[in-house]
Amino acid sequence: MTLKLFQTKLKCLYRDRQSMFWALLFPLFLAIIYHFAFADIGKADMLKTIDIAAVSTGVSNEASIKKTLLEAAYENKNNIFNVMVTDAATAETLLDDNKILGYVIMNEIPKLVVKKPELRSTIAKHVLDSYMQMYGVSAVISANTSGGRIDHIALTEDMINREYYLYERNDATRNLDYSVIYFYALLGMVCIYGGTWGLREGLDISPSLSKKAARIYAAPYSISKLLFVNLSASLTLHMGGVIAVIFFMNKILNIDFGTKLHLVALTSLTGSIVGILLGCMVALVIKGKEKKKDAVLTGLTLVWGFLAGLMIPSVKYLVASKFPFLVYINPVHLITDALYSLYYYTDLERYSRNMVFLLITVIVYSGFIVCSMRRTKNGSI
Amino acid sequence: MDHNTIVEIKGLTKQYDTLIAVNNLDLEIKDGQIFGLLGPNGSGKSTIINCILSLIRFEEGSIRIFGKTMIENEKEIKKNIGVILQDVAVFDELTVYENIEYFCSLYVKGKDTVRHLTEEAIAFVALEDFKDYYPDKLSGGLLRRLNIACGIAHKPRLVILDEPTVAVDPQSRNRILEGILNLNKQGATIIYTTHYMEEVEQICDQIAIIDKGEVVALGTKESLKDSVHLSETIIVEANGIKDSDIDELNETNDYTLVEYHDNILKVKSKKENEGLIRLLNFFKQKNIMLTRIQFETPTLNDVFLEITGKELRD
Repeated sequence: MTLKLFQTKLKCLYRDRQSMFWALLFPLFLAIIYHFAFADIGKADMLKTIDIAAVSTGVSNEASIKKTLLEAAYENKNNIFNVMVTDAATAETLLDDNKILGYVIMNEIPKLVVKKPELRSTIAKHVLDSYMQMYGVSAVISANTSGGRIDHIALTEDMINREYYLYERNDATRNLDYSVIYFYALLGMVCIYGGTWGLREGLDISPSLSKKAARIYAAPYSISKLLFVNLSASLTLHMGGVIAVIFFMNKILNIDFGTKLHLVALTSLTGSIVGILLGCMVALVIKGKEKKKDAVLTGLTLVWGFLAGLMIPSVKYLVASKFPFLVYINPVHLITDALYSLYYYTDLERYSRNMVFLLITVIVYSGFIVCSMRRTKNGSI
Repeated sequence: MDHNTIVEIKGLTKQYDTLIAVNNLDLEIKDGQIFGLLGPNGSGKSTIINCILSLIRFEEGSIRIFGKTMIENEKEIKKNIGVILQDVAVFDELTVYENIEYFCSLYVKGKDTVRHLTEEAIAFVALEDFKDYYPDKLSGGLLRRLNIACGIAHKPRLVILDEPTVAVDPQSRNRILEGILNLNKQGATIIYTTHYMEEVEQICDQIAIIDKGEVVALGTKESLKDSVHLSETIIVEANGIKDSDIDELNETNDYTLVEYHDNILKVKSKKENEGLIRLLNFFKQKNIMLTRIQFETPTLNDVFLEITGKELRD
């Protein structure tokens, strides 16, 4: 009968017009608004060369750092940086006057100084990180070569000459688009909107709030199993909505999700699970009336969306630099950043880190739900 | 525990903070009974039901149903219990048929069995013409019938109804009560809680009067009335009764109640038939003409009033 209960629940959910509107039509509506408002923002900006200063310190690997910065290029072969080699004081003045995005202090481990964190500064950081990886690898190779005959700085430069360090893309025809951040944050929000379904399921098994819950508790069917069935039905329907939103953004609004669409789908699925569990957890953990729980969920979703750059993209970078712990507890940020890293980076390191934190979130929320159910089971009716 | 006993409650105590909702309560409900729990709002009836269903924990006591101790995960017992609570608890997004089918599926396995039981339940509450309707299109009475169908579709041996007729029109109420009697005829034992004494008098064959979480009286309606030695009320319609006549009747000390409003005199005699004869003689002496005389037998409300000193609907 589990399948029958699942099917009935599914029917129940798709007939709920209000929830369907908020879960499906509202995000589509927002996507259209974003499309007209932001679609062209940043495209030109992103392809512009970034003015950056390099502060000489005289370290042995200074030349290779400089080379890295000078030769880093977008996939369309345009240089990423316009590099001015100068002293620290001048670099600071240029930064204060907004003449440069930031400056790199060319220590053995180069340090990037920026005025405020934003998308372009993360590109500079990424290029320097790539350099440091190669520098580290060449140091290891050099140390393990008998007699230490290989100079690891020379090896680094050799690797740079082979253009391994370039900020390359798989799809050479695609342009980087700054505005996708809005759409990624929107997709993150859509996933977390699954919370409205989860909230409903949580309320339906709260005897103190739902008339149906007492009837359900009196039945011989396992409450945990029923909740799982109901949440699965919610997830099925919600994923249908998320896929529709992705399809609409990708095919109708031409939003670029990169080449790894299967990973975009996986991120959306994980994000939707987090969203649904979040709603269920709020319903079961927060004490009080339905309206209070609803307000908490809506508030959390909006705040997390804002912190993930839904309204102002630079907030995302500001939070990441000033309050990094918020990044790891904000599922909208994790989803957005996972999508963002799929779009901008060829390697999956950053993506994987986000996914790991999303999975940890799933485990933590599930734990809260299980504990709350034990408490709720015998609460006052 | 007698094998004929369906529910046995011993020493049940449930406390909410400082409020004792149920206090050391003992009850025994036999197979085939319609057992009424009668008491005013807040007397503890619903708490007793919630304890029986293991929906809430209780501090002390034990509850055995069908000879087994009732615990929260006791599926075998739960399978044979049907619950109809005061509030209509159905899904607004499902039709009448789908709602009954859904709740039946929580109890019964097998697609065909569920379908068959659902159709039987629809026929039982006479909702055949409304089976494709959504709850928001049903009247209050029809909704109550849907609520009942959802609770009994799996053919339980024990049906618990917690004030199912609150805010229901008289016609629908009668239909519901008829339905309960039919369920009982089909072999179900019924626990029926209400604060409407008329309903209890109409359908219950065993009654527990509850007040402040305690059973204050237990028995059949006849035995309850006998237990408090209540006499009939004599109602007389007469013209020309003066205040002094009422004072005089009160002074005789033969009557427990003397009320006079709008030419209607209500008198309760302490001495049964002798009281009536004396009253008739009193009117004869005073030359008062009687236009109508009738007798009112005591109600369960009178029993409750006699035991607790307050009205059932307090």
